[in-house]
Amino acid sequence: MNSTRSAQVTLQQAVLAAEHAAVYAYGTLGARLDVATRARARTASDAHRARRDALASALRAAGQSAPGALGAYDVAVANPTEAVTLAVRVEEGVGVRWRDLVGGTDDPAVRATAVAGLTDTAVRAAQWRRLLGLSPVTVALPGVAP
Amino acid sequence: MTATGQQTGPTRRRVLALAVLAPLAPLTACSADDGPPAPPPPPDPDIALRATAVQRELGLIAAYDATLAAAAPVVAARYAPVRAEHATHLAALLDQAAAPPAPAVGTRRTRDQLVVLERAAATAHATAARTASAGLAQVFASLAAAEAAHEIALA
Repeated sequence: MNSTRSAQVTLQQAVLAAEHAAVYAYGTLGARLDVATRARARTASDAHRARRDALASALRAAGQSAPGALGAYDVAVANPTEAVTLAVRVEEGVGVRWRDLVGGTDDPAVRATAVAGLTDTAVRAAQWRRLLGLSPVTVALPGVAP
Repeated sequence: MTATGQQTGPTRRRVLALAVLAPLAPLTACSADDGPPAPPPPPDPDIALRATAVQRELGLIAAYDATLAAAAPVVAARYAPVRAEHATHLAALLDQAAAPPAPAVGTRRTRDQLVVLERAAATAHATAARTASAGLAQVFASLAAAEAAHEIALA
């Protein structure tokens, strides 16, 4: 395995770890939301789960390790506002990892997946920010670490 | 070595090609004093991708400017941050460009038309991200993501 390929695998594993954490976080924060908002959180969680599973499959198909989730993550939310704030943070954090992957591969298919992953996080972050009443609703350069 | 004078921002592939060819260079240099000149290097694909994207962002900024000029305050408050983000996108694309481009002229758009423009830009930037060099690909990725999210901001 050459060094470019090795860097790509490391970044894919970092995205996978972030997607595991996102699924866990949505499980925790969803419990603090009202019914309508909880449905939206479930949709987001399903999307992260799908990305997570696709990434794990791709890594294993390439003969690489696909680490599983940690036993627990340090997430605590006391009320709906904190829950949605965490959702924003989760989306933005996962987005950073997807953008890292864009820069760490020259495989067009992996790039396309990473751009789609980043885009999904940006759209969901905007939906959550809008729900919180934040302005602006969007950020100029999603995936750029603040 | 003839190759060093040609470089105007090497792509990874060209660097690799140079590395592979390096052992042959002395041989080539000895045997062909009066051979044909080396062909010009292929143009850096980033240049065209960047130029097209700059035009796209200029078009979006012009569309927002024309729309904002005639917008009710409540609508303007929603659209102005989006316009500002396109200005940030333009600046990100212009980092290494030589001269600032001339602004485009836009026409007033409905919200739905702006959404269509944003979606088209998001798709085009996502496509550009597939083949650009690593750093520019990351810029395109962020632009594509931001423009997809603008639909939420415009709603």
